[in-house]
Amino acid sequence: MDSQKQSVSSPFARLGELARTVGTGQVSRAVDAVGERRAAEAFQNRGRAPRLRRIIGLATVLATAAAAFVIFSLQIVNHAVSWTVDGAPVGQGTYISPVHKEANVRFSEGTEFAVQRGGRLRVAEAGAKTVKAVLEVGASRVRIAQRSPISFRIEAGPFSVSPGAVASLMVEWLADELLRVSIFEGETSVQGTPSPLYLRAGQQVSANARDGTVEVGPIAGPTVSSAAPAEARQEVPRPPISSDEPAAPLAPALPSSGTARRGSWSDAVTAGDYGAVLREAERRGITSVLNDASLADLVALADAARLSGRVELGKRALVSERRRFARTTAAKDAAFYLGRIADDHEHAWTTAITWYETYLSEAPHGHFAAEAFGRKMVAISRLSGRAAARETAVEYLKRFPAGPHAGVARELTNE
Amino acid sequence: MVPKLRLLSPAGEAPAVPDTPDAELYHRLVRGEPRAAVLAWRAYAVMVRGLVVRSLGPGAEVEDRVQDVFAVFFRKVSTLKDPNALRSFLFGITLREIQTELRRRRVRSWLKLTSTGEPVETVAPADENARHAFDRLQRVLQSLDTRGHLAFVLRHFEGYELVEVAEALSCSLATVKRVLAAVETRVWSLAAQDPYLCPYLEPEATES
Repeated sequence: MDSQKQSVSSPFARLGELARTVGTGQVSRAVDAVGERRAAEAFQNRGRAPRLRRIIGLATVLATAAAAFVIFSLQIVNHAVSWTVDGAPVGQGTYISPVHKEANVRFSEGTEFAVQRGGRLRVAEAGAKTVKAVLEVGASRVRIAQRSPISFRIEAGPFSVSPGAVASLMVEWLADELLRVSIFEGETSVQGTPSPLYLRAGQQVSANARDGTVEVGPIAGPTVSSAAPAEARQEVPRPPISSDEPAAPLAPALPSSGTARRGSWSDAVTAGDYGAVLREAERRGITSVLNDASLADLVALADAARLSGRVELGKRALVSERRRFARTTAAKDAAFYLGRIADDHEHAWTTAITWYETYLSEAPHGHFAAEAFGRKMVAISRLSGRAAARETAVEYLKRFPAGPHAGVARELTNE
Repeated sequence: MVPKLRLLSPAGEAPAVPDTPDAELYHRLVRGEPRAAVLAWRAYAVMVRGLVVRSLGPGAEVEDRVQDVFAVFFRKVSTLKDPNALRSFLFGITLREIQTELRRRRVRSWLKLTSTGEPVETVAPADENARHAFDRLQRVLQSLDTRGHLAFVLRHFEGYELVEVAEALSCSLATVKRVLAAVETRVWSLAAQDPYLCPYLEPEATES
């Protein structure tokens, strides 16, 4: 085959002819002379090039190896965020529930959580740059390590607490409805409130998930505002994070105001004095209280009973809430709490799932929707196996891609 | 692998018969005679540049690519086992340099980089329409992948048989047929929509 034959047989023959006619490779004598001189120089230097190339090649290999080492090291740093609980390593999602003394959670980059007695916390997600912990109940002191590359987020019910660098704070999630965050050092933001809050050292916020009230004030009596002198700020108490002693009781929760919840039982629960509520209820007669008490007292009784381990009394109070005050937010929330009792205390997964579904149907966008959905997913996996929970996990990720159970949901969907 | 290819002369170009036979030029290059580089340039520069221009299009980088080809050629010529295959050896180096440049251009296009400089006189003084059509043709070729691009150039610009294209591209005959079928369809459809290239397409009916 030659070019003549090609031009006859191919539909591209004329295109080929165009290319050969225009792109002949001929250039002016001047351009060709320059090229000839450069080629002669290249010929003279041909012996040096390999040596130079070898050096460049070796340097490239070394540089690549060094870069790979650095990247690998960074990967380790970035991806190997680990933590121990009282010195022992635990896995992601494990509940940390100290009974006799606080549990010290120490992350590899230096940040420490001190989960208080009776509290329950789990590290839901530990990514390259973020760690998400879920405080299910109780309190935890938090101290973010200096120059920590990790962004920490502590979720409690519908709220999310994001401490800034070098922050030292106490996060409390009480009675499944009250968030209290006390900032001892640094800055912290709180989401989930009607508008995001940015708090500084010396400030305390109390946010109630049930009635939507939010109070911001000083930690203790004296006001330590952002405009206070530095000396004043330094007086703010900073608890020793590694202390084994029980946490000192915090300052009174909420300054009294018109928006704060009223009623002595509610105040007692907020102050953690569950015994007082239970004693008073027993003095008045439990049946009488369940049938006649106001909604606020019923709610307080249910909380006091649950949080002091009187599960049966808590259930009765919650059922009473639903029976007597149906359609109220408290009654809807009671379905969620009943699910939690069945889930956490009775391990009755079927009952728990039913209550979670009840809550989700009554309050699909309620404060505890993400929590109820996630707990339902976990309960299904416990009851019927992980494969059975996959569909719920997919739905969970669609509805709550950054929810407290997102890590568990992703694990289920990836199996 | 050194492709043993026939070299066809571009239209209107006198058959390139080097003054110095391949074997003699080979020995002079290996001995390192300074004059040998000039002789090699005069013998093969037009061939190398022509293939570069027809494959990559006219541009400021053509002369640099030609120099790259010769630099590699001078460095590796001593590894050639058959002194009579000097021309094919150089042709193979040119193809590899073109492949490298096509890949480099692809990366540059991903990175949104453009080459700088004005085209130098690397094309024959044809009429304006032909030069413009040649530019448009290069744009069509640049939309192909590297192997398809070279296969098309070797088959339709350089006039090689399918087996020779396969040998040059180090792939099987079946692969070349498949690659060519795909790129020919694409070139045809693009050229048919281009007012400057459309007149250069032969009707399918004339294909024998």
